[in-house]
Amino acid sequence: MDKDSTTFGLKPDKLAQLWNMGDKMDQGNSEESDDQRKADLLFDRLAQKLPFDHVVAHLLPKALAQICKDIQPFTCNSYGILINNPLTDVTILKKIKNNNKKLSQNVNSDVEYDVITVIYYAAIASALVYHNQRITSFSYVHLNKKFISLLEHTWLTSEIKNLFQKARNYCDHKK
Amino acid sequence: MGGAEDHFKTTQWSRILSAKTKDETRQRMILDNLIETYWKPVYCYLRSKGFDNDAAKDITQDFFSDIVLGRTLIQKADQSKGQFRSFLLVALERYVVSKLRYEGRIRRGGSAKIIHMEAPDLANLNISGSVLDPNHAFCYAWASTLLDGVLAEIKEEYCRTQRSAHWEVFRLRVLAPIFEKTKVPSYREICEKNNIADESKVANMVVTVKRRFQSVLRRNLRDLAGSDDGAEEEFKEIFQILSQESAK
Repeated sequence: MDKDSTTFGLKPDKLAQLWNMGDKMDQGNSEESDDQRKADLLFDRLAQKLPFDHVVAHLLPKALAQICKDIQPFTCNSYGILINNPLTDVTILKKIKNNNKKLSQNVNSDVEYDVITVIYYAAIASALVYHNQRITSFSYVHLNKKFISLLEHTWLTSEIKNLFQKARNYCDHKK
Repeated sequence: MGGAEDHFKTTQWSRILSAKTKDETRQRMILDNLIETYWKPVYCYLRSKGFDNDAAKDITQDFFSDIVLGRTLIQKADQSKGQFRSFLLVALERYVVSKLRYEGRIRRGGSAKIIHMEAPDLANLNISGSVLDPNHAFCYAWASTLLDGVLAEIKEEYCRTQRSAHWEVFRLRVLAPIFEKTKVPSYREICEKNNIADESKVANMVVTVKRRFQSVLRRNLRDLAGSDDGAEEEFKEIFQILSQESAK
């Protein structure tokens, strides 16, 4: 849509037509590949945001906790932005990692599981690359192999690919 | 993977309820976000009620100033009362009745201008040949605002990730016929126009973007409604309202 385009002014039947594209029953072309579904789901998950109230201030030194609490409502960045931002606090990366661990225990499909796995390891990669911290008990050898295998996925975003590549190089040096 | 934490969830209701805070800066930020989302539906409701453009703008300002920023709405906010959209609409209906009953007329230019209403003069709400029912006008504007956001997000995402061709195919095949009332182009025509090898690829591209649209719209509805069930309810209710107006 152009900057000046808006759906306001469309006749109700046209707006209804557009709205109805959001119908979950319309599954579209069943020939769509798993990779396409994973790419879509990854975009969707990375676009989700941390809520105002789930502040990790209690994990930070007292002096910083109040500042964080004040700043947090003004950020509301998406997972994708947080993971790829060197300024994201490592406690938030831990939160993202642990959250996706929890999600992985209740998934209904391989597509969803693969996407959750990518975000889980992306949080770990971000902590390694931007904070020089290993926020998991996995060894550098295991992580290196994992990042190599994840990089074979064709449906990753370019930002996640770059992150995994850097993390792979990091682990390679640490072995 | 290792570890266990609560699943993150932020919703319109959780944001509104978190505005019940003594932190005035945070409260103002939440309310500003609320105003940005709902000023157009409120304005459209008032125009459909019969208020002229200037009066509708004034009442919109007053409503947000008195009821929203005045904290009455926040203090009464209660998720058990249903969808937030409906809760706000009821508050608005009561506000208008109260204003007319106790003031006898609409006071002009009374409140400080807290909303910069940049929209073009929304005087022409004669969208379907007849003025929309006020509640339906509110819902129409709400749905329109939501869809604008969804389409803008998808377009930005596809262009940023070097998949502009996907967006262009979707625009030609799906959006242009709706917005510009053009004939739906065939897959062959789209192939020729965009230098794409085969028609099945175009078909898959359209489906891919449609699925993305579904996903982003549903995510936004979940955020506003607070749950998958709530999102489904909102989806069906809005579709029903738009269909009723289409049938007029």
